[in-house]
Formats: sequence, C-alpha cells, structure tokens
Amino acid sequence: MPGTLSWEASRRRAYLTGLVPALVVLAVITVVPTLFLAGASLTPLSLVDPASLFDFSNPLRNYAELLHDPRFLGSLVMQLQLSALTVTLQLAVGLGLALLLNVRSSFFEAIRTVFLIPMVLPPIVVALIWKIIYTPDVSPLHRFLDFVGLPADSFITSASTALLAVAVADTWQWFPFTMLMILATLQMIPNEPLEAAKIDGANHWQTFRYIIFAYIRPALIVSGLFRLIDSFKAFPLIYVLTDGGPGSATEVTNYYAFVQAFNFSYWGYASAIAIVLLTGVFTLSWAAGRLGWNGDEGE
Amino acid sequence: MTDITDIIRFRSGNAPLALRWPTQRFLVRVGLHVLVAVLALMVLLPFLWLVQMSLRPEDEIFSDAVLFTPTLENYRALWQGNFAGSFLNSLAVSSLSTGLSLLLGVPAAYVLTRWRFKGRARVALWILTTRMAPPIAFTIPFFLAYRVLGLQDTVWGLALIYMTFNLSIVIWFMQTFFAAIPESLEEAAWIDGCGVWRAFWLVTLPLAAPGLAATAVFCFIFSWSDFFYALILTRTNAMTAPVAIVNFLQYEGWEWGKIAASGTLVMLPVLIFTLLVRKYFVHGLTAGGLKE
Amino acid sequence: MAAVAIRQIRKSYGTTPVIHGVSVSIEDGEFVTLVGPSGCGKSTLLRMIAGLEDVTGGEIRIGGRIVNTVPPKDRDIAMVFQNYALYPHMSVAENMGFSLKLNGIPKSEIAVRVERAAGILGLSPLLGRLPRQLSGGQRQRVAMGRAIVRDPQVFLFDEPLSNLDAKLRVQMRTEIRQLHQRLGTTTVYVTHDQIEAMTMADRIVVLHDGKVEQVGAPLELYDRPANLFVAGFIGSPAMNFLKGWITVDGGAFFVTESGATLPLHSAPAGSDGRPAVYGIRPEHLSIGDAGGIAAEVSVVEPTGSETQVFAHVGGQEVVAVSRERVGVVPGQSIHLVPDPGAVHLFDAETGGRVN
Repeated sequence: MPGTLSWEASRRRAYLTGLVPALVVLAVITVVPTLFLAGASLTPLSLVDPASLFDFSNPLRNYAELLHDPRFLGSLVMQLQLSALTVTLQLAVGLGLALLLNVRSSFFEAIRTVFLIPMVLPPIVVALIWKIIYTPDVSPLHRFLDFVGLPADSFITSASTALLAVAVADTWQWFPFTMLMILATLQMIPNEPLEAAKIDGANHWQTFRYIIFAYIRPALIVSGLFRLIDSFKAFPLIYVLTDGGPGSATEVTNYYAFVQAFNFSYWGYASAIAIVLLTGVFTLSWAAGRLGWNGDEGE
Repeated sequence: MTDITDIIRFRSGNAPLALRWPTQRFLVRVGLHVLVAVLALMVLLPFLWLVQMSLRPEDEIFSDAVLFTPTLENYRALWQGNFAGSFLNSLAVSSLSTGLSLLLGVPAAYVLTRWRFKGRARVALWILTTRMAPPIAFTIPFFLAYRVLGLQDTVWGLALIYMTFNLSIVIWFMQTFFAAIPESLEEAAWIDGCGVWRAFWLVTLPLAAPGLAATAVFCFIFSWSDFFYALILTRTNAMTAPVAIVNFLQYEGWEWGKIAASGTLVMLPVLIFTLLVRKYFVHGLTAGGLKE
Repeated sequence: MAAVAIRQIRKSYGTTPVIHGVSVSIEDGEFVTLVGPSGCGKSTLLRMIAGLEDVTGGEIRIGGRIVNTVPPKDRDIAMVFQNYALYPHMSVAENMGFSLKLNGIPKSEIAVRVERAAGILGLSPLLGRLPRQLSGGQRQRVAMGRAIVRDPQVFLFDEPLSNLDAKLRVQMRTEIRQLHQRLGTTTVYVTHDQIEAMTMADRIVVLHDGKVEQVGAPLELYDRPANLFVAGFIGSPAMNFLKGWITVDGGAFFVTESGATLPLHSAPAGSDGRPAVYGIRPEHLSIGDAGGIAAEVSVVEPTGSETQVFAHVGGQEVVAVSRERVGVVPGQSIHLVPDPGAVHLFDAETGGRVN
C-alpha cells in the first residue's frame, strides 16, 4: 500500500516522540548554559558592567589573569591537597572497614545500614553536624578532649588544621561509598585461590598482597576516581565550616569560583575558573570511564 | 595471634588452618562483633549528637549532664517561625522536579532501551556526563538567565535546574529496569492490538513499577538534599530548608537547639526514604562503576 | 481462515542479507512447518509474516491481501511465542481476553469466548491464576488459548515446545495437532526439531541459510529428498553418506572410496565415472555376512525397540538400525547390505539429487 508506513517505520516514529522531548530539555539546560559559560569566560562580564557581555575584544584576558592570580593558584594547591587527603582517607577507611565486615554474619548485614547513614544524609546536615563538633561550646569532641586533659582550640579557626578538619568531615560522610564498593568486590572473591595460597604456604600479608589486592584493585581505582571527581565539587562543608578560611586556608578552586561569581559578581572571571574546573573534571571522567570499564588491566 | 587476613577466610565458614580450636574461633568472632559494634557507634555518634541536641531544652544545651528530659520545644519554636515555609518549599520543589523528570525521562529511558539506533552509545554517554559537571558550571549561566527571565527565587526556577541531574538519574536507572523486561511481552501486545506506547503503558510500565518507585524516591532525595543551587537561586520566596538551616547558623548562631532541630527535620524524610529503597543502593552504585 | 502467500521474500539487516528470495504458498487450513538449523532464517520469516519485522523485498499476502506495510495488530493473526510471553501481571483470563478488550469487545462476549477457549484447552479451573503459578505446560496452553480466542485467519507458532521437557513435548505435539484438526485454522509452525516437523505438518518447508531447500509432505521429504542437505536433515538417525563414483559396466553400480561396489537400480544417462554421493538411511541397511559394504563394528546401542550399530567403513562412521536384536560385538567384522530400492544418489558438487 503506497504511502502507508511499515510497522518498523511507525515504531521508529513513536520512539522519536518519546525520546526527543527529554533530549531537547536536556540540551537546553546543559548544552546551552555550557556554551554561554564558555562565551562568558571570554568577556569581562560583571555586575558593574553588564553590557560587557559582548565584549570579546580581549577574549583570553580572564585566562591570562588566572595564570597570575595568586589566589587562584593557591586554590589549585588547596584543591589538590584536599582531594589527595580525602581520597586517601576514604580509601583507607573504606578498605579497612570492608575487610572487617567481610564476614558472614546476619548482625553485620544489619549493621551495614548503620554505616550507610553518613552517605545518605543531606550534605548540609553533615556540614551542620560537623560545625557542631568543631564548635568548642557544644562539641562532644572538645568536651572529651577537656575531659582527658588535652583542651584544644577550634580546629576550623586555625589555618594549619582547617583543611584536615574539612577532610575528616568529608571522610565521615563518604567512606560508606568506598566501603560498599570494596565490600561488594570482596564478597565476590572465590574461595579457591585463597585456599590454594594457603596450601602453597603464603602467610597472611602475602595472601592479601598477591591475591586479595588483585581482586579489589578495580574497585579501589573506580571508587577512588569517583571520589576524586566528586571532591572537586565540595561545597557545603567548606561554606558552613570555614567559609574558605581562615584567610584562604580552605579556599579550593570550586569555592574560589563561587566567591568570584557571587561575592564579587565578576561573572566573566568566575566563568573562566568554572571552565578550568570543567575541563579538569571531564578529563578525569574520561580517564575514569576508560579505566572503570576495563578496570582490571593486569589481573 | 590472628590478624585481619585470617578473618577474611571466615567468609564462608571455612576455618583457616591457623585456628583449629573452636574456642579460639568463637572468641575471635565475638571480639570482631564487639569491635564492629563499637565502630558503628563511633560512626553514629556525630549524627546522634545532633538529634539529642534537638531534644535538649534551651537552658541545658551547654550543660555537661548526659541525661536530660527531652522536649519538643525546639521543634515547636522552629515551626512557628519561617522554617515551616522553607520546609514546604523544599517539598514543593522536590516533588515538582521529580514529577517533571519522570514525565520526560521515563519514556526516553524506554526508547533508549528498545531502539538500537546509531549513536545510541554517544547519547547515553552525554546523559551520563551531565551528572559529572560541577554545579558552579551551571549556576553562573542559570543565575544570569533567571535574572532576565524573572525565574529568580521561584519554585519553578529551582525545579528546572534540578532537572540537570534528575533527568539523567531517571534515564540511567529506568534503562536497567526496562532492559529486564523481555521484548516478547511487548511483541505479544503489539499483535494483540496495541501500538508502541499503549503496550508500554499497559504491559511494560506496570512490570517496571517497583523500579519506577525507587527512581522517584532517589530523585526526591537528591532534590531535597541540594544546597548549592538553592543557595544561589533563591532569596526569600523559594528558600528551601537546607538554606534556611544556614540562615539560622548565620543569624541565630546561639540557638543551637533550634538549629539542631532544623537539621534533624531536614534529614528525617531522607532517612525514611532511604530505608525504603536500601536494596536498590548497591544496584545504583555498581550500575555506573564496576563492570558487572 | 486464509491462505498465506510468500513471494520472493528478501530480508537484509543493513547491508547483510539473511533471506534470499523465499517463495512459499500455504493453502487455506494447511498446517505448514518451517524447519531448519539455527540461523537458517525460519524465525525471521515467521516474524515477517507476523509483521514484527520489515520486509526488504518481495510480497506477503494473507487471504489475498498484501500485508507488507500492515501493522501486526491489523493482520488478523495470532502468535504463540517460544517463551510464552504471558503478561505476568494479568490473570489467565485477562491474558486471554486482552486483545479482545483492546478491540472494544463488550465484557460479556469476552467472557464467553475466553471460557470457550479455556474449555477446549482444559484451562477452566485456572482462569483466575497468575502465570507464575502455572507449570510450563499450562503456560503453553494459556499462550495457545490467547491465540484461539482471537479466532484469527492464521496461527503462527515460534518454536513453542522448545522450553518443555521431552515427555511434555510429545504430549503437547499431539494436542496441537488435535487442535488444528478441530479448528482447521491455517497454521505456520517454526521448529528446529525435524521430528516435530515430520509428525505435525501437512507440508514441510526446509530452510537453510535463508533459502528454501525443499517443500513437500513429510513422507515426500523422507522418501525423495531433493538434495544432500534435506537428506541429512530429515530422518533420525541421519542418513549415511558415502563418497565415490557411478560406474556403468553392464549394469549401474556405485563404487565407494573405500572400495565397495554397490548395485544401483539405474543411473542417469552419461553418468559413467561421475563422482557422486551415495545416501542410504540406517533403517535401510541390513547386517549380514557378505555383500554390500565391509565394515568393523565400533559401538552397539540397543534401545529396546531397535538396535543401532555404529561401524567403521574406511575411516568413516556408518550407522545401521535394525528392529531385531542383532548379536554383533564391537570389533567384529560385518557387512552392511543396502536395500537397492532405497538408495539416494546426489551429485558430488551441487548436492542435488541425481536419481
């Protein structure tokens, strides 16, 4: 029958109507803003000069300025420090607890839900909890320190401890993530290699290093990368605990962009910082994608 | 002397050769349980501290007494203030965003599951990357756009930007649930008399209902928990609960009881919902990470 | 009830052709089986008749009407799937009545038709159950019930018995056959099991690599297979094939590679010295002391009703089947004597039938 669509063709048309709205909306709310961001990063757009949105006279001025901006460069250092700290701590704690919980016990299955709690709490509540812990007046920690005779000043008001304090709070919040991933992998390790190792005479450390570690390495890499990518977005903790301070002691790049955009309203400059962040995140995500899906090269 | 690697081999009940005597094994097992219980308590402590603070009467906040008579006074004072409004805003924005994302995302997920077209992998990847971007990258353009469009400080404006992550969550999750339903069911429905979307509505969707519910809960939780977008894009009208908490900290920093109560209230729905969908948690974690 | 005409049907996925010009004519009320090894295209062909797959070239007619672009629901067909495809969230009655409900038929009539179909299939006590509460055989019946209720022009079966255990399969085979005799609806039935095809069909279509090898009644395919493929596919245990040459020397003979000389009833003109393949079914080989093919017994398999004897002939294995108890042992030298009237000759190059 000429002019009538075949079944497969009419199916395709039906599929398009179901897919296109979502894609259009997604494109509008992600692609368009990103393009705008890239464009704005080439202008000196700010609150005091809104017309400069179309001033492309010196497109790379923001990026050039970034390279000389000590506060920006300092924020990169902060970011690397914070990311290194949090990822290491979260992997360590996650691994330790996963090894501990890798025992067949109904008690442990139930307890696992308890360990989930920090991760599912709204980040603002986590920030609030740790604000309380780091405020000597109401903190159980400080009360305990007083009790054992080691009174201390607030950790978040001292430049030398502020970053660590934030990292500890972040670890408390996210260790369940790495722990769950590693635990899931641990429980998939078959018995036979472990038994064979024992027969071969391997001691406990050797068994861990040569056999168990090989199995959990992909989980370590993937969860580590996920946490690394997420660490670039850290915000509520810093906002509530330290506000980037004291001074700029905890002002990571993401936070610096926030300050530039919404304290100083230098939107063009902040866009440039955001573009730098985006590039970093995408590069890492690409690397994570490649590794995560071929996770165990060398297994 | 045992260490942790020995304990690993407890996993399937096999006793390692090093621990031959039942009493030794039993003691180690008991010790392990105690250790884990203590650790769990340590992990819970910060969280419990917040909750107990919310129940302390105002005059006992700074006291050293461990026991106290719990009171709901903080919650009452909280609710009589502006907090109730912000709580309702959170509810409105989360529900709206969840609803919109489901409406757009569920059919899209179905199409991506069933229709093998060229570039499908690339589209799926794009959807995944939208979740990766740091919020600041979206906030600046949206902030500026909303000033012009008048969507600043509105519930709809906030719900719209939440779709940047909720849509991808819906599509990503629902794809796996739809893939579990055999295509032959839909083919039977087509032969019986349905078109593509009628078969979807009458056959596929009812079978994916549990997954749909779990996805809706996840969307709701993520919207509810957002802080950054709400901070930037709302002022007074559409202020959500997380932002209200920070307001308290900044302007009423000494009313710890009320502050703790606000934190507890914000966290309560999330905890309840999480308990409901906890079996989907590992599913969601591994769906994007480890290869299956 | 209608005839189904498939003419020069071609199907390609992208640039890969999978069906190369198939033509089959199915009479009104006939039970036709599409049979062949995996990947031969039989399921694809069935799905094209159903409308679930597009036709790349050629024409499909149901009841005289060209249905190439007609959606499945408008073709007046019903299909029984391999995995039953029962709607898990609907009861048996709802499953069976679904298509009627979609077409706006009043509830009272749906109930009548569902009950009638259930009665035919013995499903009446199960109408309120959910599919997961049913056994495999019951689910298969519900799938058939769903098809019967629609009273379509054509029934399509896609390997419906593959998921059942052997005993159930035999029972369902008979039931499906009886159903067809009762309802008389045109049926197209796909299977990879040649025994199913042989026992159920009015006519069989043997497919291989997207092409029709032969179409005919079961016994036709058994007695006169058109080529090597059909000869080796139909019949169990499979036909024995011996390579060699035809010689005409006072009479027609076939000389095997292993050196045996076997008499032929006749040979086509000018085929002296022609390389060919000699086919003889195991049931047409008798075991004796002299003549025929010399062989050494390797395995003897008695099944009670018959004995299968596997023997080596010059590096090749040959099977003989006998209804009587045969007292041979492995290692024994025997002679396998073919029944000259049951010999099949095929051209060594084309595989086509020669006699």
